Amino acid sequence: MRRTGRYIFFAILGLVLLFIFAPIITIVVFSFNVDKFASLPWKGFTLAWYSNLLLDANIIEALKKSIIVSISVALSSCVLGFLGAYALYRRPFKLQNVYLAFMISPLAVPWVILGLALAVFLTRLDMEGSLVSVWISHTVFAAPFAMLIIRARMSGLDSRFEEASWDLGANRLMAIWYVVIPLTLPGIIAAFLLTFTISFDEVIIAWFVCGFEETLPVKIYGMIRSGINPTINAIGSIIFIFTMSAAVLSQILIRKPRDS
Amino acid sequence: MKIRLLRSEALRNRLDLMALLPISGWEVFFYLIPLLFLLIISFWTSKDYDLIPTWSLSNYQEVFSNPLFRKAFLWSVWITIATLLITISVAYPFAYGLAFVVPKKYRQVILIAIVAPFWTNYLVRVYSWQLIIGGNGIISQSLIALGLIDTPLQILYTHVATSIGLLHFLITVMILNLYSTLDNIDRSLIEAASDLGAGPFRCFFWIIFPLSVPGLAIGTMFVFIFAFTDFIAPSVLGGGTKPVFSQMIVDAAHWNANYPMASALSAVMLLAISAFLLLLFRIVKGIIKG
Amino acid sequence: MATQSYDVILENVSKSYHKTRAVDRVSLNVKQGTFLTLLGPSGCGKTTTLRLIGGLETPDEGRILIKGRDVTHIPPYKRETNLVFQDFALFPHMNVFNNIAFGLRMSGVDRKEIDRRVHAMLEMVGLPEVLHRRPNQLSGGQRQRVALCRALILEPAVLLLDEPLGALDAKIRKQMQAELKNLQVKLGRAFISVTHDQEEAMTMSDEIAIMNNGKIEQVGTPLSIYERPVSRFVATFLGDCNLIDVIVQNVAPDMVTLRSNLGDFSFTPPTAWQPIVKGAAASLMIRPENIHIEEVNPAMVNRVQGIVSESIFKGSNTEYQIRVNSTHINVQVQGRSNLKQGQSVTAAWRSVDCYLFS
Repeated sequence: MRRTGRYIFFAILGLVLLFIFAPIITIVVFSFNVDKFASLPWKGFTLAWYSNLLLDANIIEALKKSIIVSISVALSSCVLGFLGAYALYRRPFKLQNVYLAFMISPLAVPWVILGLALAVFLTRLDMEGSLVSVWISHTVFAAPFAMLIIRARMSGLDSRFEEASWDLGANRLMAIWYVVIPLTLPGIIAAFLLTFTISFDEVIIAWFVCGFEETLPVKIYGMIRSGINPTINAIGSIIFIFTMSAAVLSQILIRKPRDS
Repeated sequence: MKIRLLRSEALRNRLDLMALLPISGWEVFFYLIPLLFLLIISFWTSKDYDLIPTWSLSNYQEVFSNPLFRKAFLWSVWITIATLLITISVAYPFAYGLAFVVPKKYRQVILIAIVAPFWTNYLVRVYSWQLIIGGNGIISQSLIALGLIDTPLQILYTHVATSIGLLHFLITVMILNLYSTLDNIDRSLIEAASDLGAGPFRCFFWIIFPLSVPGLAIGTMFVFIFAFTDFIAPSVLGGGTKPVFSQMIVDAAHWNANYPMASALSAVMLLAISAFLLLLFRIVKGIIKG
Repeated sequence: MATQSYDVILENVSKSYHKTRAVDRVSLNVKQGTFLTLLGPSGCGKTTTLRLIGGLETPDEGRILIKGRDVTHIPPYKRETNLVFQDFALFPHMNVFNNIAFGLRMSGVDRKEIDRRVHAMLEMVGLPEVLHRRPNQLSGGQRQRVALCRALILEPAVLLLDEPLGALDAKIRKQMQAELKNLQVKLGRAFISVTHDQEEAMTMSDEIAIMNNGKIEQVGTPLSIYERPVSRFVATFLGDCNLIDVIVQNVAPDMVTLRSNLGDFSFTPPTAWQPIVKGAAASLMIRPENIHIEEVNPAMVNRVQGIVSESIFKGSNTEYQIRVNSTHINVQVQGRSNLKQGQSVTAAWRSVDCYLFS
């Protein structure tokens, strides 16, 4: 009886894993397929879709914009997030859980609504339809996220290190620069990579506020709605590799420090 | 000397909290206020791309009376509930197996494996399902080649396709939540139950399941919010015939430039979500208490 | 052999994990209604043995009998044992009542009966007021009593306890030691407890089984193990002792003479002593409290000369380290004592106040 139970489990495991992996395998495999559709048997191997990518000026433009925005978002999020994490670390206050709940709420509010709200608001301020508006909007949810990550790392930091540096003559800024930041650096880098990734991938809010300055995901969305296009597979595969590297890197950094 | 130290201490404390200002300011100005503004204009109307402060409930009346919106709402509820049920049915056994059956050395690998597909863009993944379940897709072609069916599969552009697209993302979320909760259950509690006379099934019913409810609740929350508000999977995979409620918001805003209507729809959506969350909270509280 | 007079019998039980033998061919007979403690250093296999008796592990070899019935392959929920876990394992999502009632629910006892018995149980341990509280609202001592109730309410043939006092503060521990012992006497059931604290074992147990490296070194009453250990390990584990390497010179029923590089000694063997052959090497053990420095009288035939090298005042007694030739012996003197460092002393003990083993 126990034996069959085990076999059932492993069967479910296998099926679910297959289901989860199906898209990613499809994307990668058929990005090399000559045929437009996912035809079986394979019509032929080609790198045409990848070279298409490099030649398509629109896509390259969109990619550039995405990179610019995402880096800016990561930078602003990490700065804001670091400052917020530091404040909470140094001076926890009574209603801090309520405050944190509010700060995290952008991640729980449906992004359709968030995108809509920002589009309307930024239009009123005449700031809509540019990369700046995407940057502002993405930072709204990325900064709290960065704050969470950095805070987690900071909580393991002994406050006596900073106090020791004050004792030795460092002022607040110097202490932060020479002591706090280096010791929290893995968390900061992890936050940077994660916010970059999330911003780079984000489509809904970007779609609402970007206007004609299309970021890559918005461009992809447009391509998808025009029909089947294997160039999308190629884009997807490349994004996969880069995101994977960023995720692996941030995982290595997020782990707690070993005693040095 | 002492007075100066105390003063600098107070100053230091104030300076510390000031570091919260930038991020708080950003959130207030670019998150809270836009949302409030959205709420405000839901009581206004629009004409020729201009917002007119009408201050009426006309938008809301439209939301509740127009059959188009009602259908979309019900359709969203239906898809969400169906997706939720399927997700739990598949994810729970998977997470359970991962936490209790799979040997420890394989667990990390499997966890990474189920997260890995997230390393590519959500859009691209949804798109790829077209390649898999479409009329010319992999499954269709394979089944035809095997002689199991004659005509190409018609899954695409149906609610099944939409669910598949949503499921694909949500199963992983639910598995991760459930696994983390199940893995944290103190094994000695299960041994104690066994020692006190509970066989394997009763151990699950009395100990494992109740203690897994928090993780299940959080997973349910995510699944619900995502399934209810996503418009990408429905539009790419579901076809345009049966739109979901979030699509109504997008249509009103993007295609009709009727922002007041879009915000009224958004407000109703948020109300629905809040109502659900409250219900969920009540149920979970009930389970935990008794 | 009348198996019915033993509550638990282990026959050559072994259990291995990843190629290490946690329990190595252990045989043990637990008499009816005894309080037995499995004592030993961490990693000696005592907890594994306990879990084997409880059914939470299955032995690789051997048999386990409880009240004469072979339970070797019977799962824990069908055995007549109940285990009080080290951290109590109280179900966090149930209140005290439901925790205690759990086992009764599993056996299908009806509600009224459950109610009556749970109340009676809590009365017996003196905690009637915590009925509706959750485990995280209880103190350590309260939790322990609830865990006891939960196990005892099922009236198991044998109650198993895994380091029952380990999680408690030192103050409560003494009190609980007495309470547990009284409880066991009152109920008349066998209790098998696991601990690494030899003082706890000595206080509460009728019998102690000392384990080391998966094997049982010795089983006996606290007194017999303390006074007559069968090996160096047992001797040193149960408290301080002095061990002198000796060679047996002559063996007579009432006197054994020994030779060592600290001098000649004589040992009066107790009745059930395992004789050692003439000429063999052996260890002479003397407990520090049996060696006298200040009130030496002629009956103490074993003597050594030495110099006080260290003294530690411990409140109710004083411990001295006496240098004798190239080694030292530890002596414990009751009450106050004012010997100075460097002072020359004679340490003596009676021939009945020591023990000889090979």
